[in-house]
Amino acid sequence: MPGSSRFEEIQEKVWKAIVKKGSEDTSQALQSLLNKPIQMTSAIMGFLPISKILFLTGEPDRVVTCARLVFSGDIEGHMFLILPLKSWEECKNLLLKGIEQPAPELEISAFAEMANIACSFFVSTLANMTGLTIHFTPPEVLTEMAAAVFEETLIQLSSETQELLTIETTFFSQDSEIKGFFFFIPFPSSIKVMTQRFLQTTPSSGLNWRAE
Amino acid sequence: MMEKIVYVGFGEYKISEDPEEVLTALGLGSCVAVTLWCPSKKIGGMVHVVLPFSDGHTPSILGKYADTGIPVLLDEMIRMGARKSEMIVKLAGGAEILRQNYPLPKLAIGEKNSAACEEVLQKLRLTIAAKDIGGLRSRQVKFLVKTGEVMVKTMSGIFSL
Amino acid sequence: MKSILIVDDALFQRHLVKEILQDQGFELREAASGEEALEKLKISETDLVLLDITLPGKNGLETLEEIRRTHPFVKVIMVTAQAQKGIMLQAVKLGAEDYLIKPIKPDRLIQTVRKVLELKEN
Repeated sequence: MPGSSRFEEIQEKVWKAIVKKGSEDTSQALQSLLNKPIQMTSAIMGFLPISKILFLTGEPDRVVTCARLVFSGDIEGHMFLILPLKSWEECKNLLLKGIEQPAPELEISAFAEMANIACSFFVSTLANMTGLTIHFTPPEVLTEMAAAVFEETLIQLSSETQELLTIETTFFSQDSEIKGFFFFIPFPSSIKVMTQRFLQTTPSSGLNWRAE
Repeated sequence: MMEKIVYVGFGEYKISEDPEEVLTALGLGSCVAVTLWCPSKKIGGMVHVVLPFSDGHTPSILGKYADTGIPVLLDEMIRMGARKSEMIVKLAGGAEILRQNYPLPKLAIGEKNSAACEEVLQKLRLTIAAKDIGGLRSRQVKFLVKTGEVMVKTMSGIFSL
Repeated sequence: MKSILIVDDALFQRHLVKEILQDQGFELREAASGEEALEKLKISETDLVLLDITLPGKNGLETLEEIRRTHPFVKVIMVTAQAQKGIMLQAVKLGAEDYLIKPIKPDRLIQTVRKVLELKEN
């Protein structure tokens, strides 16, 4: 039916605009936190088979520092902020500037806060543009080989689905080693809610000017 | 010789007779990789176990549970000519990945998974030749079909099982 | 001396806030959860609570609700990176005096704290 495909096209456009704005706001937040210009690639949104998830950050055996946040409310899912070790070292120096030999707890907490802020900005943009209410838990921090950080998410979802909607962006700073990944993975049951909300909000939500 | 990496994904199992193939399971935290190798026929198989027991449900991916994945791997290997009496069995995985800002891992899935694998193997009268299970770190497991060797990679290094 | 309770599960964030406020002549205390904050309110006199929204266990809004019930005269400023309209509206309805968005700017923090405590500009 041409009508429905036209609709899907519009819907995809709007969601793209939302995630674009979300990732712009996230990079702004990181920029202000790290006090350094941070660029963000525009978000890629699509369905990925679960076998591909382990390759999301490139080399699956590369050691990364990762924060996972579980979100709930009108929609549910997991978010990740992932930094290769070298990049985290650099961010750490910026965040803990002036503190001599910071305690390990303070370092981990600094990373958790960075993830908290990055994820919050993305979620707030999404929530404010769609009217959805989304809460999330404090970040869980782990340093691991990249492929292992998604395991728990996959365990939770593997009985429901073989492919996941993932929204991903990469951020980087041109004059340093800082580089990282942000992932937003709603559970399959939430995709329907996101679509319905889209139907209710599009006509009057002012998405167009916000998305520019 | 060119290594051919064959990924054994989440809940999958794979069998190979190609001596150049290396069956590989990535990102094993609480999951367990079980490998079976028949030395005379040079047939190797690996299953990437995700959870302990299926509780009677037929899962969409058979390798997902210890009690469905291990028997089906064994059966298919025997059907291809592997001898059960020769089978060399190894397992690796079953960790509880440490959250650095939480005092203890939240779920004991890793421990349950490795216990379930050992129980299922015992029921099938298969003896475990070597294992590397538990701990707080993830593993990457490579299984060389040619030699039956199992290489375990962790954040701190690589060793042969 | 006015007393401020900083409630955030992130040690790093508490550290930052303390760094900013320590020269301003306040008595500063910390709590890492909503539960701990409510305990500390019981045992020590507090004028202002800086309350994070994302907390383990009892979250910031639930803690705010409880504070309003048990300590109606204590002022509360919500501190959050989650600037969701729905959540902010709820916080105001529950009786928060103001809110601050992370990453916190030092000037803005000092200004907001002084305003809520009705202190004159330095």
